[in-house]
Amino acid sequence: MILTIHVARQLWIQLRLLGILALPAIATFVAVIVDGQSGSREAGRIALAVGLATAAVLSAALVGSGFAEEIRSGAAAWLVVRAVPRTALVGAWFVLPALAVLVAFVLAGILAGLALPLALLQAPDAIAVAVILVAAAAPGLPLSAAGLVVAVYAPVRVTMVAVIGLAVIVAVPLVMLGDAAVHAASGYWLVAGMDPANRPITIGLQAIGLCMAVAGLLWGVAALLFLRRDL
Amino acid sequence: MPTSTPDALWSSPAAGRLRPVGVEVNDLARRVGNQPLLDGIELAVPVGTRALLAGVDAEAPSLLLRIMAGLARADRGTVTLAGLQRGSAIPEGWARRIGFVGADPGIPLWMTAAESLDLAARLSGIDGPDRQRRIEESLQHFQLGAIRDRPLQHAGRIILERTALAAALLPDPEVLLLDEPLRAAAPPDRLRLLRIPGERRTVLIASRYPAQQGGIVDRVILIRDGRVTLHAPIGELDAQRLPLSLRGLTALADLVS
Repeated sequence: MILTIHVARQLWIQLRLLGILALPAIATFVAVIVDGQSGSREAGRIALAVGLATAAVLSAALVGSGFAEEIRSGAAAWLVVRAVPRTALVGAWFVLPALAVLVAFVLAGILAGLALPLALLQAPDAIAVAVILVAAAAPGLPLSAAGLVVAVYAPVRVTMVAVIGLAVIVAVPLVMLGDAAVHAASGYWLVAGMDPANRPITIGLQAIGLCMAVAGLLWGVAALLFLRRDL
Repeated sequence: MPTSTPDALWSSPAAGRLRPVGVEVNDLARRVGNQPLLDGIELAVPVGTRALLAGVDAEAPSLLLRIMAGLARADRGTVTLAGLQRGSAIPEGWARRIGFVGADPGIPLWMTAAESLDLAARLSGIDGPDRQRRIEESLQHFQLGAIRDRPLQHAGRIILERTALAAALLPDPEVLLLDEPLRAAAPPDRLRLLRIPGERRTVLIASRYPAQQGGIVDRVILIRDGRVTLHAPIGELDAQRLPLSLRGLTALADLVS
């Protein structure tokens, strides 16, 4: 609990938490502007999907760079000397931002539902909407975990660039593959192509599951590397 | 709190005669690159000792302390501090009994001095009025009262080093490991702050500048070729008319061997 509060305060004071919470809302505002100016619902939805994806990538970069800074500044060593388990430290740096990302995406979804004439507002039930929003937030988890992996050895700026670069490397082929990529990027896909007649719960849950599995695997790698690293 | 440390023994009058071991290292080894910086270190430091740890390879003492503190891994060997081995100790018990200050203070710079002391106390399991009393005493002793509520990112290195030492001493540890401590402090301040009281406290100071530790340590330990080649009372340097320097320690090690 002490460690959780410590990491939460650090994220807040360094404005990283504010960034994570604000980015999806900013993406929604941009989508509202695009929607209003283009007069096309499809353009608004695509803008929202791209904006949320960008928010997830930047949030992951914020998390990774924060952890890199914690290690580089010696603050991680200061905690480890006081018998804070290394796995607990990596865990806190993953779980807290993940919760923040989830909250931010839900708030952004509510905002989008209120401001945009999207199918989101006309979705058949609340569960479908919730699944879509969580599925849109979910790709941020493996990216954040990848950021932690990079952060164990890389400096702050390298970690930020690496996370963004990794996201681009993964996203480009997914976009080009089209339907085949729907499982991995379905959150954004679903937001972009939302259809009120369709209840994409199954595909959304599959995407969430896949993202969590990959995130868990990458978190394990980050924890193993951090356990072996000299501080 | 763990019961592994024999408090009853240490508080008994017999402790002075028995001289229990505060720091015990067995067959510790660590290679860095192709170089065996530590190659079978054997060390037993009695409780209450203030020991200087110097090395012909300047990195070796620092690495040894960081392995003891759990910051670096060893290729083989064991370390027992105040009767505790890190992997098997309860976290609060370890944090309360073992203190470490690195060459880089490492305190989270977004915290204030008072907050960092508070966090150190909490992680050591110190609660209630005792925590606040210890924090106030530390702030006063280390002359941190004036900047207690300012973020440390605005503080100079001297303040950071003092805060790091204050945080390490707050739980009243039985073993204190200091890696190049208080480098930025003025010599009189350094001497005052590093003359750390406590008969039951064992202090190891790793330093590249042995001469600066005069008046602070009572034993000297030299690491050469990855092994402890000298572990002697500081008086032996005087007896041989050797200076407290790396050259003096090396010469004494040659004489002893």
